[in-house]
Amino acid sequence: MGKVIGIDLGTTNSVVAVLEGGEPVVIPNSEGSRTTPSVVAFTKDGERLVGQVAKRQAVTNPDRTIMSIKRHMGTDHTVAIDGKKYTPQEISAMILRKLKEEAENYLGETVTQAVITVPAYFTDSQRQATKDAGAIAGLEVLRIINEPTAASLAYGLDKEQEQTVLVYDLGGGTFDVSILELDKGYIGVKATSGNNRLGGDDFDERIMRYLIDEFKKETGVDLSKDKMAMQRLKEAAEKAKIELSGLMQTNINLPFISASDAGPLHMDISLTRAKFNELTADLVEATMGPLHRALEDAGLKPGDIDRVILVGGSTRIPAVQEAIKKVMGKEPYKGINPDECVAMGAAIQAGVLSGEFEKGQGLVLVDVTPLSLGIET
Amino acid sequence: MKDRQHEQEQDHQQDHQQNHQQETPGTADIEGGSPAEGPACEPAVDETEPTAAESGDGSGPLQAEPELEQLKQQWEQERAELVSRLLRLKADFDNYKRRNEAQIEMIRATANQNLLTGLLPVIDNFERAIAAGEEDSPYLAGVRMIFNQLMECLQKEGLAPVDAVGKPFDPTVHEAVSMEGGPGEDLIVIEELQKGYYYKDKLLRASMVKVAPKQQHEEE
Repeated sequence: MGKVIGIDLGTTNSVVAVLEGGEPVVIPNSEGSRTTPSVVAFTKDGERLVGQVAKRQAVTNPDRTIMSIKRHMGTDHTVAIDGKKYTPQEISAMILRKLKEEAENYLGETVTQAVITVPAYFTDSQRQATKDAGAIAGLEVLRIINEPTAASLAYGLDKEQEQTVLVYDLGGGTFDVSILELDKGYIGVKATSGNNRLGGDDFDERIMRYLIDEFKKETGVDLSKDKMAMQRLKEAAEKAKIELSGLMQTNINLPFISASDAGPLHMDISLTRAKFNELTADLVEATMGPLHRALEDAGLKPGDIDRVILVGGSTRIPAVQEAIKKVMGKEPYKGINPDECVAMGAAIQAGVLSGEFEKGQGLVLVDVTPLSLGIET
Repeated sequence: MKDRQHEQEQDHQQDHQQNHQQETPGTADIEGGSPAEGPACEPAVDETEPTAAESGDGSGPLQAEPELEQLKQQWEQERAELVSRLLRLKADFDNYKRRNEAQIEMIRATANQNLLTGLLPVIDNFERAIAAGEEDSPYLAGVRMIFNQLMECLQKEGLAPVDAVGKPFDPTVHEAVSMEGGPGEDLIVIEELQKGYYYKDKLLRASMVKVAPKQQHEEE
């Protein structure tokens, strides 16, 4: 039996992983990156581009570049290109095929089976659409599992005693909270909540806006009209955000960012973590509403939750972790790369299904039970 | 006799008992003897064997048969599992070895990649500084010489710029940040906002560009 791969098919980015020697390993793509943008494009010549390459040409070809197709899974939405209509399944299949090929290149063998993750709130038709996308891509989908379930598998929680887990997932553009009940290989979803228009990109934007305001106060120049300056600001903002997860202060140094009659202008602004927290306090606060709602829906109090798991790159932000700790009364569980733990969990499930694990070890019978899950959009 | 026999049933001796129990000319060759010779050669095999053979008509060994069959099956199953695990591990290891070699080769070939990636923004700013300098100033000329010196040194190590302006737009090496004119065929790069670089044929960073349809651009 060949290898079964685990795929985190995300709204903005996707990740593929596989079990090697009993350990989940994230497979880098041919461009050397561990995540692949979930973007598909059709060129004028009818060529299909997927991932980073599709993203790079997006502004030249907006009508034929498809982003965030996941938001349309399970709906009647179609994308018309050159008179042909594509369903969300077909578009997703193009992303899956690329991930399948990357895995094949890496493993040096054909891959025909996969485990794919979906949000816990996905309906049956959304799950079926995801499964269909796999089939179109030439992948037999052995199982569709919930993203929070995959995250808890990555942390090995299924092997521990009966417990209740809260998964806090703050991705690039979406936010989800799920409450899971784990009991000897059974994993059930008790409640989910979230906001699918909130994510890490909003944090970057706050920094950018701050830098633009400060620069204007200092020099009178409005950088927001300068495309090149904005591009540099965007990169600098993301870098500053990442640095502030480890440091209390960072410097944003952008020489020759603009020019005035008096000569070149440079940006040299220092940003403290405290200031960053102040700029983004409402974003962090906005995640607390869904968190409380999920607890309420599950009929639980913060004290009833045994563990809190963090998923998504933005959960590296210290203020996010502090806010969770304050509400939940306990330190969140971390240690596994939050960008990769869903794909890693999918790879573990894939390993279980392919018999990679020996008996008695990691023999999980994941049972996915989406209850009546209220979601806010 | 019977008591002793029952004791023996408890362990591995069952195996021998069974052999004798079933002894017929066709199957007796396990110990190289016929039923009659049985006891004679047994000491060489197992000291307790004679008892088993003598009491061969007892009910014990007959009862043991299904158990034996079960044990055999269990062992066979375990063996199959172990072999399958071994094969998997072997395949994993071979793959690991192959990839490891490739990876070492890659690390050797691109040992400087991280350093160069970190240097790219410095190079960008160097270029911006030169672009903002006063033309004809001897100071600028000097700075330009230092920049060229740096770039020559890096080029020797394998750093090479991505061709951009005037070339057909290629998203594998160009990142479009804006587009002029309406949509059209044959997009070309009309302006480079930030240089892209290769390091030993590998794209280190895409070139950030402005594009336009070739025809529209030429008409302007």
